[in-house]
Amino acid sequence: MKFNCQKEDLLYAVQAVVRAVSTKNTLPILEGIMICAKANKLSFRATDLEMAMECLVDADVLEEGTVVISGRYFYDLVKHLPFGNVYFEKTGEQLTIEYDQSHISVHCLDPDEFPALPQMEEDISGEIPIPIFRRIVRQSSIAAATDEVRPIFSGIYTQFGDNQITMVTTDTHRLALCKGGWKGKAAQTYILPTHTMQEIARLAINEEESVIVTLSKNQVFFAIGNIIVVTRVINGQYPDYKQVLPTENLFVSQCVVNRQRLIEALERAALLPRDAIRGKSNVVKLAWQKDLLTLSADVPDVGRIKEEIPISFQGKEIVSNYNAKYLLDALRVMDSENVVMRLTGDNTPGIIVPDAAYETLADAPYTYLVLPMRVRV
Amino acid sequence: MQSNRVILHSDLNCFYASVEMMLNPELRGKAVAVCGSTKDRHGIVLAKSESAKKAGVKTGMVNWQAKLVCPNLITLPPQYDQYLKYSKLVRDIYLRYTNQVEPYGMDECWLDVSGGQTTGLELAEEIRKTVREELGMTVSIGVSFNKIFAKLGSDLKKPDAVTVIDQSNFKETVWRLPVSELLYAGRATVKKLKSYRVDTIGDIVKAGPDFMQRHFGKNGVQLWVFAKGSDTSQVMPEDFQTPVKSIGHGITCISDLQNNTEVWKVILELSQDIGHKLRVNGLLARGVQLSVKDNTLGYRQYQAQIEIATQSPMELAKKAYFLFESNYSWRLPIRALTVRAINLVSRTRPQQLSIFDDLAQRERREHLEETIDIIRSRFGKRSIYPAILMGDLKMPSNTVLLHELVMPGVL
Repeated sequence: MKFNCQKEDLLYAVQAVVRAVSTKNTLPILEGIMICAKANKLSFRATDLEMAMECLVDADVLEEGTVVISGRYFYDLVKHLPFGNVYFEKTGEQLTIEYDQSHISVHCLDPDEFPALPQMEEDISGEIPIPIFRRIVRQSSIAAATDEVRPIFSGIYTQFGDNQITMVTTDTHRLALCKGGWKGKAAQTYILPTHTMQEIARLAINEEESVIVTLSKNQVFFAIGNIIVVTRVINGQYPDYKQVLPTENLFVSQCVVNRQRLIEALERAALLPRDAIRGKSNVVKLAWQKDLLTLSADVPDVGRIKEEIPISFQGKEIVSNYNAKYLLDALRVMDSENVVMRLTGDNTPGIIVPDAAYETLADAPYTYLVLPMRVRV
Repeated sequence: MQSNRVILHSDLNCFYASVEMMLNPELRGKAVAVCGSTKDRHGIVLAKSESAKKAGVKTGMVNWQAKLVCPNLITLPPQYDQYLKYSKLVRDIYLRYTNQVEPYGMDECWLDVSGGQTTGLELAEEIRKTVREELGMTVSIGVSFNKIFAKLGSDLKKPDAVTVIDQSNFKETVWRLPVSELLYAGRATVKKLKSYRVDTIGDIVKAGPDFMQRHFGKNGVQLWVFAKGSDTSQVMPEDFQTPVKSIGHGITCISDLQNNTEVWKVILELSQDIGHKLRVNGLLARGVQLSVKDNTLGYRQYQAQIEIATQSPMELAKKAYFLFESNYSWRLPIRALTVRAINLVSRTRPQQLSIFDDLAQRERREHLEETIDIIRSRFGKRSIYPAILMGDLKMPSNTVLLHELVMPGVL
């Protein structure tokens, strides 16, 4: 195997696929990046068996072949190479890398051990404009469970509907529901690993482009430019999220509040140190009344804080305790200047939606449901 | 200030047997043993008198073995209420000298008597005489400058004696003793120490902290600190309560449990008491631990987290049973079960509600269980209980809860 490649192209490809290189040290071969040189194209591949990435770049291939080298090392090396042409040649188990008047020789791994990447057999299912894709992944991923106790909750439940994608996450304490348009037809639903979706969103930089989606039975392919990401699907039955969302008649009050003002107040309230005995979560008491939202936190032997925020309010006065982090997570990923908080009671779910024009709650592009904390005396 | 502390460790000699002799003077001087009931399969020697000890009766012996080594042995059933009463009377004597009286089980106490006019030895002698004169029981007392050596001293001369271990003599007195004499050096640790040729307490000192850290971890270093006489742990004041870390309840069954239904009943029964104790202490459990002993005394322990902290006997029992069902293979029938509520948190700690849990329903159930608890406290434990617990549970009748051994507040 022999080829010439530009450092910039190398870096672009390696930077993309290195995120799929396994860090778990289970199979040594998964710590490698595979490079296939064929028909003046180089394909870079990596997989941790959860996701697989492939990136194609142009090159001047003199002799076709395949090589696998340590991903982490190769990424660091490419970053440090001088700009310009780099020549690669594989002889036996050695890969020689030549640049300027210098050369490096490294040992490579056995390409036959590298797992084959899933092949795309289905037709393209549709495409999602990148700004929409980035928004729904960012807004949904916050409520996914970070532990693996119940794998389904660590994923994003994704419904590909007629011209609309719905993403739902929950860690049993809160639930995020996001909607966005796509060019595609209704298909089955999937639970996709949150981490992989975040990686794809990270690669999707060009706001003018779209993410091309190909749905297969046990995996989903996402193509962004010359990068393809294949993700495993989490198996399991996702709970019916529609059952969880309160029906219109259950809401007893609602307010409109400035998002940034609320974020700042919550951040200050959450700063009071907590201890293990009383629980580490940052409990903040929220009291809604006419024209005023009062936030307070009281940690015995430490201190207390009270903030008042003007709001426009209708309905019954409510006093609830919330974990400040759960409220902040949602407020921080929203875009609108004001948000609407709708409440069903003191110890029952509250929801946060953007303050924008839409007919009914079901049409909101983003709905965040959060349960209060129960405080007993 | 640490080096001139004066700490006594007072140990009531043959406590259960002594109380029995107090109550029935005819037993004095005879070979007496307090034993569990053979019928309930608790048939082992719990305590013995001085003469039974001389005849070779050991604590933990099965009743018939004890009869074999000492044919004229008089065996008596335990009377825990009496023991508790006398334990308190002895403690009242100690409290005349200091309020820093830390009990260790029913028959042992540490006393911090630092800073007094009289010496530790004089005080110990006075206490020894007072206990004998007022209650007719004997104590052996260790006098030293830390709790560990005081405890060790009380074991050296028995009965009715005082041993002083001070800065001038502890090297000769303590260091030649086997490591097993040291508090916290359990059977496993002693065995492991022996394999490294660490036989005496002095050997631990010589081995040094690095060696102990390497082979025994943090607790090893602690042993080294104890061995060289640098223990600084305090004698807790009389009203000190060690924070509750777990609440458990276990039972050895009258006959072996043979199937899941029998196990479920016992687990549910044990959980009733745990729920009650959690409620009394204002605690919620975030986990459950189940220990299972089969009829060959093989021992297994399982544990699981509970998502929403609870004090409900039913929830605890269900989790414990789930652990049992998903782990136990029924190769052998079961002799003993222990359910333990673990990862305890205060009831008043704010708790995140869950989307998939119905709070209204939970509150109704809590209210119901609270009511059941109130009914029981007024009309007795058996005034209201789950119907499945009617009939034979293979559990010993009238089990008296053993006074749980409270470990001193050092570790």
